[in-house]
Amino acid sequence: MIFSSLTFLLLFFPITLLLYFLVPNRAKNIVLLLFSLIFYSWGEPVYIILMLYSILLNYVCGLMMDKYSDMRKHILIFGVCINLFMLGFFKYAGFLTESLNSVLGTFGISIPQRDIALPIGISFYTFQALSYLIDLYREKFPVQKNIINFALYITMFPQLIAGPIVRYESIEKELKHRIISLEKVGYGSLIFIEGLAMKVLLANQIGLVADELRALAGSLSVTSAWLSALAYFFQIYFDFAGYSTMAIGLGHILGFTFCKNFDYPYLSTSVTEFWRRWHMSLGTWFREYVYIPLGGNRVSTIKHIRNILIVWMLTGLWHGAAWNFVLWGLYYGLLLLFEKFILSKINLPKPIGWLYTTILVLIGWVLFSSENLSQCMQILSAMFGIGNVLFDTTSLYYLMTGGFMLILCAICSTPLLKWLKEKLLHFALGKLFLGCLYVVILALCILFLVVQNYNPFLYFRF
Amino acid sequence: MKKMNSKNKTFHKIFAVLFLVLIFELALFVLIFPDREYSESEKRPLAAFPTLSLSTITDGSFMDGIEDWQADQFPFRDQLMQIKSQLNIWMGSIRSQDVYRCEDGSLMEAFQMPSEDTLKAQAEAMTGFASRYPDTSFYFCLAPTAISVLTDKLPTATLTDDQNQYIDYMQDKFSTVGKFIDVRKIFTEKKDSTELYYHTDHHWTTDGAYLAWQEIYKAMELTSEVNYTSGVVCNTFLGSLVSASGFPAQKYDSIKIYIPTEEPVYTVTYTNSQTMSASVYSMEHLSGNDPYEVFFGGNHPRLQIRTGADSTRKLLIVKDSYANCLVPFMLHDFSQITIIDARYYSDDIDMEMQSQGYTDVLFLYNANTLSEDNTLVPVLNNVAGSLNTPSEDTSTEEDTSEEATTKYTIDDIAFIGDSRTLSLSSGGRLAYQLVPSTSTYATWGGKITDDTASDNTLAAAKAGKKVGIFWFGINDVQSSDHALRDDANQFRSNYEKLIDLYRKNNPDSKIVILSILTTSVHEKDYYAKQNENIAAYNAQLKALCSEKGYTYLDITKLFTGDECFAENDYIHFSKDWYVKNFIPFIYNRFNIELSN
Repeated sequence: MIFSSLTFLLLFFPITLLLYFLVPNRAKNIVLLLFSLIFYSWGEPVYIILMLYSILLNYVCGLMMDKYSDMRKHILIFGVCINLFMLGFFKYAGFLTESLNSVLGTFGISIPQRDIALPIGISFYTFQALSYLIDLYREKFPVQKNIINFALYITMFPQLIAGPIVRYESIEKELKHRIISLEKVGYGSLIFIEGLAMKVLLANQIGLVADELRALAGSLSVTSAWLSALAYFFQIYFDFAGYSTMAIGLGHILGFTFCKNFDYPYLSTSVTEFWRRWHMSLGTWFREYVYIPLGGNRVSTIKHIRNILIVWMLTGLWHGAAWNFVLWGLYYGLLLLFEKFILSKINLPKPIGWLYTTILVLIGWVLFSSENLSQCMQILSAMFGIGNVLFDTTSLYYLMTGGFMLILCAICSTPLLKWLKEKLLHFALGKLFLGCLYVVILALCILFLVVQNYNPFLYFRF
Repeated sequence: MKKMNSKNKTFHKIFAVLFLVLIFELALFVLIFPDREYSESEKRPLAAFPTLSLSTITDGSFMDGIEDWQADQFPFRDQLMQIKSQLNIWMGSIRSQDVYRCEDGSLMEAFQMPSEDTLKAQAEAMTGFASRYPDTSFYFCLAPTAISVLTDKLPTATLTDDQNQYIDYMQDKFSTVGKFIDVRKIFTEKKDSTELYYHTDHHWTTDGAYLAWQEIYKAMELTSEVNYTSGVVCNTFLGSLVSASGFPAQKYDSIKIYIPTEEPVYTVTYTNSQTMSASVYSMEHLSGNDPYEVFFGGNHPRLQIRTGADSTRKLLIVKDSYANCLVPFMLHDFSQITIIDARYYSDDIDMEMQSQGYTDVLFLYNANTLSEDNTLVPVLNNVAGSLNTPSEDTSTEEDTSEEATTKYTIDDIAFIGDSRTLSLSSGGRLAYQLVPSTSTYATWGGKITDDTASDNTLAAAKAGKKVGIFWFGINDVQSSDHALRDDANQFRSNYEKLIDLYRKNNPDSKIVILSILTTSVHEKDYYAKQNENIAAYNAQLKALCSEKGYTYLDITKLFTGDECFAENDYIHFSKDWYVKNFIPFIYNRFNIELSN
C-alpha cells in the first residue's frame, strides 16, 4: 500500500486513526503494530513472514546481548551477519549471479539463476534493525524487552516502506511515552498534505514527461535531453521527499517525532552540501555505522579515501541491485573526494557552486535512472550535443506542454512557499486562507488519484 | 529534531478538526455511494468489489481489486475527469492518449508510421491478392485523416508522423495492380469551404465522403447520374475522440445523410446474423452510444447488398468504417455490393472471389486504421485457405485418410484452456460434468501468459494423451493491459510458446486449436471491441496452425447468438449450449462414440 492512494487515504487511514485514538494509551502500540502489519501485508502478503522472522531474530539477539554481556561482540556479529545475509540474498542474489555468470561465462560455467522477488521495504527495515543492534552494543540505550514495542519500531507504517531510516535511539522514549494531541494532529496533517501534494501533484505529473522523454533516448535533441534530465531531477526529488514528508506528518499525528530527511537539496552549492541535504537519514546511517567504524577521516589519507569510496559504493548499491547504481555511488564518491582534497582550496562564489552542483546532480540522475548503459550513454551524449540538433519539434512540444509544471517544480524546490506560509501565519486572514488552501490542495490530490487510471476502452479504432 | 512551533496552537487545533472531519466524511460518503456497473464515458464496465478468498489474498489480486474498485466507484468520477481534463488544458496540455486538441476544440488522432515489415506485408498482401484475379478491376482508396489535411488547425508543436509518406508508399505499390484513388488533392482544396472531418470523431463527414466518392466515381468510370440533397439526421453527435482523450467537446457534431433524387431499390443481407434490411441506414442507432452507426448499424464481418440498378458490375469492398457512409452513394452503379470487414471476417476470401464473380474490388481504408491493422494481411493471404478450416459440415479432414477414420475416446483428449474449458468438467463456478475432470486442464480466468496456463499445459502433456485441444483467448482479449490486449502477434507468439512446451513433453500428441468465440453480439462497445480483437487473434491462430501443421478448428458456427450464454454474463456458455453444440462437434470431429 502507498500513502498516495485512495485505499490508504479513505480506507486504511481513517480506520487506523479511529481505533488508535479510541483505545487507551497502553493499547495504542498494539493497535498501531497490528495496522502496520496489515499495511505491510497489503503489498506483500507472503513475505511478511520474512519481516516477522527478522523482528524475532533481532529482538532475541538484543535480549541475548543483554543477558550474556561477555559474548556481546559475538552475538552482535552473528546478528549483523544474518541481517546482511537476508538482505543480500533477497535483494542482491540475482544481481550477484548475473554478474558472476557474465565473468564465468567465458569459462563455460554458469550458475543457475532463480528469480527471487524483492520483498518491499527490506532495505529500510534491515537497516533499522542493524541500527538497533549496533547502538545496543554501544550501550546507547537499554535493551527493548517488550516485543510489541520492538516490533513497532521495525514495522511502524509511516516509515516502513520508504523511510526515513529511523535510528532506534531517536524514538526509544516515544515508544513508551509520547504526546498525542489535537495540536500535533493539525501540525502533522499540514505536513502530510504537503507531502501528498509533492507526490501526486508534482512528482507524478512531471514523471509522465520524464518517462515519455526517456523512451525517446536514441533521438533526443540537446534541449530535449536536458528537459528529460530535468524532468527526472524533479520527479525523483518530489517523489522521495514527498514520501518522507508524508511519513513525518503521519508520525506527528500518531505522536512520534521523526527527523527530516530532505532539506532543500537543490539549493546546494557543492556536492558535499548536497549529500548533507539529500536523504539525510541514509547519510547519517552510513556515517554512524560504516564510515566512523572504519576510521572515518581520523586515519591516513589513503585509508580515508578508501573509506569514502567504500561508503559511496555501498550507498549506490543500497539503492538498487544493478551496476548503474554502483557506478552512480562511485561517481559521487569521486566527486566528494575531488571537492574535499582539491576544490576546498579554491573559494568558489556561491552561484557558480550552485550551477556546477546542479549540472553534476543532473548528470548523476541520468546515470541513476537509465535502464541500461546504452540508454545512459545515449542521453548523456545527446545532452552534450554529440550527433544531434540543438532544438526540434519534440523540444518545443515538451517545453510548451511541460513548461508550467517545470516552473512550478522549480519554485517548490526552494523555501519560497515555506517563507510565504510563515508570513501568512502571522495574521488571522492569512491563517484562514492557508486553512482553505490546504483543504483545496487535499481535494486536488484526491481528484488526481481518482482519475489517474482513466482507462477508456479505445473502441474508436474501428 | 523537528520541534513543533506552539505559536500557532489554535490554528493547528482547528485544522486538525477540519482535516479529521473531512477524511472521515469523505471515506463514509465513498463507501455509501452506490456502485455503478458501466461507464458511459469510458465505455467499459467498472470494477466491482473483489472476491475475498485465501488465494486472492496470497496472490495480491484482492488488494489490487480494492484499489481498482475504489477508483472506479468513486462518486462523480466522470465529472471529476472533466475537471481534470480542463485543468490539463489550462496547464498547457494539447494531447491525450494520442489525440490532439486544436485551439478551436477540434480533436484529431495522431498518426504513427507502421514498421517496415508491416508496410511490406500490407503491400504484398494486396498486390498478391490482386494478381490472383487478373480479370477483375482493382481499386484502392487510402484516405487521409484530419491530422494530415487540416494542418493549419493543429497546434504548433504536434508530434505526429507524416501520413503522406504512408499514402505515397501504398500508392506506389498498388498502382502496379490497380488504380489508386488519391483524394488528398481535392481535400486540400476544399478543406476551408467544406467540413471534411468531424470535430469530435475520427471519421470523415458525409460531406467528406461525398467528395471522395466523386473521385472514386471518376476512377471506376461509373455512369449513373444521381443528384443528392443532404439532410441532418443527428445534431448531438459526440464522437469517439471525446471519450478516448478525455478532452471535453466544445460543441456537438452533426451527422448528415445524402438523399438521392431517385430512390434506389435494394436489400441488405447481414451474413453472420442472417438478417435482412431494406435500408443501409439504421435509424435506431442514432440514439445509441455511437450515432455514426446509423450507417449500416456499424461494422459487420460480411454483408451483401443486391440492388435494382441497371448494371452488370458486381463490387466487393474490403474496408474499415470510413466506407460505411460512402457505400450509400454506390447503390446506383452496381447490381451487387458485398462488403467485408477484415477485422471480423473469418471465412475464405478466395472462395468468395471465385464463387461470386466480382467485376470490381475496392479497398477503402483510412490511413490511421490501416496503419494499425493486422487483420487485412492474413485475410488476403488466406494461408490456411481450404487446407485446415472445416466448412459447413464438420468432417473436412486433412490429407491422410487415416485421419478421417481414426476413432478416439474421450479419455484420449486433453482440453487445455480457461473457464470455458473448465466448465466442461467439474471445476469452477459452472461445473457441467460433461467430460471427466481428468480431461480438462484449465483455470478460471486464465490467460495465455499466466503461470497457470503453463502449469496446466505441462500437466496435460505429462498425461500423455493423444490429442491436445487448446482453447485460450477470451481472457487475454479483456486484459487490462492495452498493449497485450490489442497485439494479436504477441498473443500468437505466447500461444506458440505454450504449445511448444506441450510438444516438448508430449511429442506425439496431435495439436488442435479452437477458434476463440465472441463474447457477445451485444452493441455495447466494450464487447464489440473485444470481438474485433478476437477476429485478429483468430487470424493469427489460423496462420500459426497452417505454418506448424496443427489443426485449426473454426467453431464460429457453433455460436448462435446471445442466448448461448449462461446467466447473461456474455462470457460463459450455458450447459445447454455445450450439450447441443460443443460436445456433438467434438465427438463428431474425433469420431468418438457416445457411450451413454
